[in-house]
Amino acid sequence: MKNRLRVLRAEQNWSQAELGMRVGVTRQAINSIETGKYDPGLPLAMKIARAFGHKVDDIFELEESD
Amino acid sequence: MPLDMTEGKKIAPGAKTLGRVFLSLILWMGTFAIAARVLRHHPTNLWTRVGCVLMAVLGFLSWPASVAKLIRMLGEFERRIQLVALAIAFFVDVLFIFTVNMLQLAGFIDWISIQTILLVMFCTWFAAMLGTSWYYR
Repeated sequence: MKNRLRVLRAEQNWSQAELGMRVGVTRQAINSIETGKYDPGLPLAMKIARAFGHKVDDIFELEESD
Repeated sequence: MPLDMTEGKKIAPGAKTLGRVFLSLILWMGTFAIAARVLRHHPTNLWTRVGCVLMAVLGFLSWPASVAKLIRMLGEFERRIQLVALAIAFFVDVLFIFTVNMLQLAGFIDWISIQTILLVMFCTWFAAMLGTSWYYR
């Protein structure tokens, strides 16, 4: 799954730790999502989308291999 | 302002649950030590032997229950790390036990105590947790 987390975070000028705090997860969790090592569950994906004021599928996108 | 800190509270498991894990570990070790001490004297009474086995097994059960409760308390990301670590540790332990068994059958090594196997299992679990946390760092 691809995501635009890093770009959106840069637009808001938020650190990984700050985004993590806003959605209630650790910096490691945000880093793992950004690097594609971890695909978040629906509740966390929705919290991230809400934090940026976007829809979930504006941020997360399925790839051919998914 | 944080949107929802509920998940945040779940990340840091309560000291109460951690304490429960520690106490259940003490309970397991304690009941095992007592049962093993009694059984080492080869009691002839059937109910003494049955009681020792039951005490040790029941003493163990509270520990996995408290660990499961602790894992359930974690946030989804930390829970994933713990579950991946458990899965890795399980297969490494199976590999270890299978290899030891084959080496014993082939006459290369002597009998290995269950305490040694348990120690190896704990070590692989710990190593798997460290490795998984490092991978997802």
